[in-house]
Amino acid sequence: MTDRHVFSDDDLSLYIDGEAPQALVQAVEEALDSDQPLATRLDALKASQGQFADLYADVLKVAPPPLAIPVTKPAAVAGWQTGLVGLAAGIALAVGVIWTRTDNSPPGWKAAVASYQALYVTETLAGVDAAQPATDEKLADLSAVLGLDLTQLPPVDGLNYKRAQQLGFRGKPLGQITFLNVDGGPVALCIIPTTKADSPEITAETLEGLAAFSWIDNGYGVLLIGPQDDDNLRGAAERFRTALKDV
Amino acid sequence: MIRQARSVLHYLWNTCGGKTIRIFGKKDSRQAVEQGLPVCFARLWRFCVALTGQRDLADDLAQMTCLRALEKSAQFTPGTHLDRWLFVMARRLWLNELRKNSVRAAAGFAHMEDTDVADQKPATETNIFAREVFAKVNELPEAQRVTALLVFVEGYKYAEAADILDIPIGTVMSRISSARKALAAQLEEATGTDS
Repeated sequence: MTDRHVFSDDDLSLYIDGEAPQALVQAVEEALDSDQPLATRLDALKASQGQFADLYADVLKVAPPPLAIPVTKPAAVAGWQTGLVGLAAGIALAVGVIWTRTDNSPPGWKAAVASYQALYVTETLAGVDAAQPATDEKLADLSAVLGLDLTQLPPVDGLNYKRAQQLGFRGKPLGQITFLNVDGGPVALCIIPTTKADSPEITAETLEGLAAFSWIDNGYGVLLIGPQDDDNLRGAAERFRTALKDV
Repeated sequence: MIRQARSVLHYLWNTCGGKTIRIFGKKDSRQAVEQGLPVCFARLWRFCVALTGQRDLADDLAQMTCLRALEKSAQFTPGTHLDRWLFVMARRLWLNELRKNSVRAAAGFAHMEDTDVADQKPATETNIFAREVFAKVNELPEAQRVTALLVFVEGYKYAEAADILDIPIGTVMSRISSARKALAAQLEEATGTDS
C-alpha cells in the first residue's frame, strides 16, 4: 500500500524536521522499507540541509568577538560619582560588544564635526527653547543610544545649554550637545563611541577656524568645539572630561 | 531663556546627583540583557548574516540590534529567551530601518563574494564567505534563508520559528520545504564541482 503513496516535498520536510503527524510518520517509514526512490529523495533533502547547516556552522566560527562586557553595578553607596561608575560600565557594555571589530574609524569624525559646527551662528541656536520635558527626554534618548548617561553632565559656567541631538558618523551614533557661550558663540560637545586607545589628555587644536579640545576616554571620543576667542573653553573641556571620566 | 536652560541642567544635576538614574528601565532586565549579549552575540551576528545576505550589513545590523536591545532592555523579561528576543529585534530593524536603504544602495542583493572586499584573499577553510558553495547557498531568497537558519541550524521547531519571524506556522513549513528543494537542486547541480 505504502509503496504507492506519493509523498509531497512538504510531507517529507515535515517528516525530516519531526513535525509530521504520527500517521504521516508511520506512512513514510513503512514506505521507506520498500521504496528506494523515496529513500534516495529523502537522503538528498537531508544532505542539502546538512550542507546548509555545515556552512552556517562555519559562519559562527568567524563571528566578530564581542569585547568583555562589564556589568552595570547597582547604585551603591552614595554620591554622583557612583552613578558615573555605573555609567562607565554601562557605556562599555553598550558600545563594547558593538564596535569591537568594525571600529577602525579614522579621526575624520572631528573634521566632520568641525565642518558642521563652522556653519553654526548665534541665530542657529538663539531661538531654541530648551523646554524641560523635551530636554529631559532628548537627553535620555541620546544617553540610551550612546550608552552614556549624559543627564549626569554638570552645568558649566559660561555655557548655556540649548539642545541635544543625535547625529551619526559612518554608521555610529554621534551625540551632540549644543550651547551658547556668554558672547552668544555656538559651542558643541560631541561624543562618539570608539575602540581607539584611550588618550585621556586633552588635545587642543584649531579645526575649521574653531578651537577644539578633544580626548578619548573609556571608549568614547569627545570633542568640545567653539569660538577661538572663548578663553573659557579649555576649562569647560576639563570640567566635562572630569565628569565623564571613570572616577 | 538662558536662565531656563541652565535651570534644566541644574535640575537634572540636583535630582540625579545622589544615585544612578534608571534611564534603562528595570535593573534585572538590564542586567539580564547585559550578561546575555556576549553569550548570544555570535549567533545574533550569524542570524544577521542570514537575514541580510552580506557580512558588512550583518555587522551593522548586529550592532544596531545590540544598541536597541540595551535601549529597550526594560522590555525584556529575565528568564525568557534572550536569543529569540534579539532575533525578533534584529528582524524588525532589518525590515523597518535597514533593508530598504541597503537594497536601494546595492540595487538588490549582491553575492557575498562580490561585496566582501575584506575577504577577497584566496579561499581557505577560514574564509567561508569567499567560498563558491556559500554564495550559492545564499542565493536562497531572504525569507527562505533565514527560516532555514532557524530550523536547520538553530534547531527551532516550526512554531518557534514562526514566533520569531512573526509569520504563520504554515508559512514556515512552505519556506522550509521550498528551501530544502532548492538546496537539494543546488547540491545536485554542484556535485563534483564543489569541495
